[in-house]
Amino acid sequence: MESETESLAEGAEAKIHLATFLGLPAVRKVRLRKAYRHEALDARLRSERIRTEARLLREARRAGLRTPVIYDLDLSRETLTLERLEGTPLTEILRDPSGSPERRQEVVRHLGRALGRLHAASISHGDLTGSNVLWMGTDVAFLDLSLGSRTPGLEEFGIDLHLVEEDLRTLCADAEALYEIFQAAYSEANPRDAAAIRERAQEIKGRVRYA
Amino acid sequence: MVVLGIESTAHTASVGVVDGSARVRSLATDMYRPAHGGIHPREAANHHAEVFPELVERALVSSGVDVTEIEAIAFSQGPGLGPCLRSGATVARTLAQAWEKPLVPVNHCVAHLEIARVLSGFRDPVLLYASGGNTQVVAFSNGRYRVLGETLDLGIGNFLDKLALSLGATFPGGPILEKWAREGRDVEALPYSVHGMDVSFSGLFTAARAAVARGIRKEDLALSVELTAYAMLCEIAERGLAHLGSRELVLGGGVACNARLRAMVEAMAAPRGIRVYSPPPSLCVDNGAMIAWNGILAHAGGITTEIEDSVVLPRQRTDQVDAPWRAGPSSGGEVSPP
Ligand SMILES: Nc1ncnc2c1ncn2[C@@H]1O[C@H](COP(=O)(O)OP(=O)(O)O)[C@@H](O)[C@H]1O
Ligand SMILES: [Mg+2]
Repeated sequence: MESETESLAEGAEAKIHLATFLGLPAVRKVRLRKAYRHEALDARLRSERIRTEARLLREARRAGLRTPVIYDLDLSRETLTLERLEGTPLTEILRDPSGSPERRQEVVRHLGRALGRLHAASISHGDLTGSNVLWMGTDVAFLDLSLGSRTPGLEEFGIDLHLVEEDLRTLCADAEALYEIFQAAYSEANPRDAAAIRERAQEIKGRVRYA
Repeated sequence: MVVLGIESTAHTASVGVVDGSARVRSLATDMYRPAHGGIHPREAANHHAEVFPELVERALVSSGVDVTEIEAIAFSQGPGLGPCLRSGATVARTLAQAWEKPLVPVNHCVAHLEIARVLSGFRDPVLLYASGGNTQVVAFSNGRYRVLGETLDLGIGNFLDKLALSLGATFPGGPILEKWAREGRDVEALPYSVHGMDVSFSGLFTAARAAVARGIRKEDLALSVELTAYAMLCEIAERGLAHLGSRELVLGGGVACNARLRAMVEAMAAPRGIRVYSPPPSLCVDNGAMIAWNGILAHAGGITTEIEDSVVLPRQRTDQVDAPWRAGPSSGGEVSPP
């Protein structure tokens, strides 16, 4: 059924192994136990997150967004087998000093559009950094939706935007211009709620860092 | 080079004298402890104004440094509580004028990172900063200090204090909660709130209060809260490290002195091959020595302020800080003690 080759990446939460599934290129995402967490808490989080991730990947896909297809979900081994996407993590593109501004602008425009559609479908991402979005050449794909929500409020939506802004600041010198482009594309794709969500994102940013 | 540094962002008034090889020549600290309830900014500021003259005297005498050897006066410019910051800035201005020394503004959060960086010998570490009002993951990236993640509501220390106060403890509640937690047995499931690299504590606070109303043993509650809240801190630190591909972590802030948190951070770091450095408690909590050390770096980088421009910035953002002492556009440079 499935054969394993090598490890592709180690994220914050999981190890990603290259695999095949029925002959198709796949990845196996195995959530790691965290020794620093109390066992019961760790088990609860792993189980919650793998279920959330599977459900939101499926629902985002149904809403017309690009996400990996779920090939298999093995709850007993906390393993998700996913379609392997041939894309480049946004982090790599955004922090590449030799990359052109036009390329970065194109990528964040697509990110804004995709996030607007995700939000319009009532899904928040919850961990929207450049390592969790792949550039597929003509569009972006979302990964790692395990911290997302299917019943998000303004706060969850606002946090998604806030995370994008912070991440751009961390990665690029032209963050401000890029965030403008991102927001414009976002607003176009989520016209009904964009104004309120952008306002909330601003509020989150300005929240007393010293309370 | 020797610099005298003044810290007063919140409840701690502190004066430190540090030299160019990051040797702490002296450190004099006095913490404001309200009789009851939480911190009152104005009362804290009055406390600071009262103790500063003696702290300066003590720091100077025990350093064995002569005033003529001091090159500059550094002070904590922000972020922090306005009245508290102003009391420290006033002292700094007075000394700068009286001794005719340049005045050097320092960002409090960056100072935590820089003192831990020089003491650890790490090149470009991520800082997990956990104190009363601040809960942040900070790193130097793309030419600036960046807040990778932070609390979206309460600071971890304020959260623990509030909870402990509501259980009848006095300020600061954190250490009392820590003592209770050591007697805890049964771990209660509580809300765990991580959003990307950010955390929030209000849901945990509400659930903890509800558990108290249901009659949970306070020792069990303290243990459950610590295990939950500290795991959240470990996770955002882990995410920050993974995000930047960094393998060095330093700790800062009063809550980062907590033994359980330190042990949990070690348990997070070890399997990832991440090195961790925790400063000794006196340099981990708010202190004048870190301000002095950052003052040395900043002064060597040409940063000074005129008296008339030396306003405090209670809401200064970490990414507003110029850092000529960190070379290179995208990664950390070497520390170059002058
Ligand atoms: N379906 C996939 N196709 C291709 N690469 C993937 C896929 N899933 C994950 N990756 C790669 O592995 C990395 C970590 O995966 P992720 O799901 O984000 O795990 P974590 O929760 O540990 O961050 C991603 O940043 C991406 O580079
Ligand atoms: Mg990820």
